[in-house]
Amino acid sequence: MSSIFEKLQDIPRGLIFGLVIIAMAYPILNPIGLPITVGQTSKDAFNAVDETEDGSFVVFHVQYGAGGKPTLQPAAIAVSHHLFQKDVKVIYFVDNPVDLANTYEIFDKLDPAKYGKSYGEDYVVLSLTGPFLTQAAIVLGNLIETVPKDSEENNLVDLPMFEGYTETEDIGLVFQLTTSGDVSEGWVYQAVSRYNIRLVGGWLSMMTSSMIPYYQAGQILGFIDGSKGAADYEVLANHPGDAVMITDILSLTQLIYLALIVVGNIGYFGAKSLGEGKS
Amino acid sequence: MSELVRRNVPLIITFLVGMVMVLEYYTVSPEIMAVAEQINTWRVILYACVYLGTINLLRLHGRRVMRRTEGQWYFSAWTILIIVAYAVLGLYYGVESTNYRWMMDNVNVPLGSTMYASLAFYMAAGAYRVLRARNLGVALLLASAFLVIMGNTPLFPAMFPWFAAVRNWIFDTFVVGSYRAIRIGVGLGGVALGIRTLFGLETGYLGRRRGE
Repeated sequence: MSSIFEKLQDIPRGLIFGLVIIAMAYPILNPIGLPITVGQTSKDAFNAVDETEDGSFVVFHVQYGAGGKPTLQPAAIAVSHHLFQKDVKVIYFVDNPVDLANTYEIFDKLDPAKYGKSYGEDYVVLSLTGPFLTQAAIVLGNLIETVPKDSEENNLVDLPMFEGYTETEDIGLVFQLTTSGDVSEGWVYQAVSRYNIRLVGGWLSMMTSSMIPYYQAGQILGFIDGSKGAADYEVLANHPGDAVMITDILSLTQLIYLALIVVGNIGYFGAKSLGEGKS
Repeated sequence: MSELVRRNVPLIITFLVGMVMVLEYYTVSPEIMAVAEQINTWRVILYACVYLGTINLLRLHGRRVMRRTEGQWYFSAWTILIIVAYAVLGLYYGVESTNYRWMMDNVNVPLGSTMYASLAFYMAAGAYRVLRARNLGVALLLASAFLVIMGNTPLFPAMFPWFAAVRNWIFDTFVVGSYRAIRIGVGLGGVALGIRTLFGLETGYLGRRRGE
């Protein structure tokens, strides 16, 4: 009996990794379609986009690189579907080449032309360099003068969407998708505190604990909480995609985590009750 | 250059720039706002100096390759090759070109995703080994971790909505309270540091004085 408890406390790492691989691979090969319920923060994010005034500009910051792509790219696609369904002009804003590639991939996936949207008239991509808070201040307050060209080297003033553009007053919403704590909080400082612009976000689940206070205070109107939030948004936007599939993976892998924690504790308490446990 | 000039000039520049940025936030003076805008623009230009880091990197790795440093030179050669390849592709075709995007999609994205995905394995092994109720403190941590994981697992709230409610209660009560305290502390510290820097009391960013 004692050896069983000892073994339960010492499951080989290889076996744990193997179980995680199976939990990840199985839903990819055989989608299960486990149930999900849409969370309140995702509904709030969706409603904030929905309530954005027609004709206004939306600054969409795509900033998750390669590491955050599996989580946030599906969210970016779902949000873009939603934005292109509306009569708003979208400024995609990136600050590194990976996110520039990610942004063009969004267009490849959803085909803006299907929504009657065209580059330069309804959306544009800006690629900026510099410290983030400065970039945000420039995009919201002094764009045309400081960033004269878009990522395709077009003069912003020549693009039809910027005709009559009056900077801050025309921006109806900032939507940020980021894996950086500095960036997610930086948008609160710049968009909300400095320019009083409505802000919605999306980030990795592990960042949620640090961002919840801003949501509770009403500074962030809603947010996409990691892969689950992205799946929620796909459901709300009526475009189920990769994130919905990822929720199956999340459910299964987290079940494995829970099972391992339970097994470890059974082993610990079993061995302890027999007076032979590891301390 | 005398020590006096070396220290006082940066202190004066810091004070002037800092005051303009502070005043820009609290006043509506068009003159101050115009100066602040110029400073923001110059910050972007100065940021370009970051690329000097690339030159330093090339020098460091170039030296290793030239000296055939044992166990390192081939990694350094590979680093140089990749830096040059990205630079050539980016400058020649442009960062939005298909070629550059192909390289990003097939090198950076898989590598970044792999690094990040490996966390899932270490988290599983870590949770299994660490979360054991050895004492009251760990038992409380275990209980809250268990509830938060169940609340975060899409399956549980879909079947039993109260899991989401419990998870949200933990977040809204303990997490938000603790985090606000941390943020207020950091904020007050930031204000104090800012004031000290503006008035030249904090000089760590200038480096050490000679003889220190």
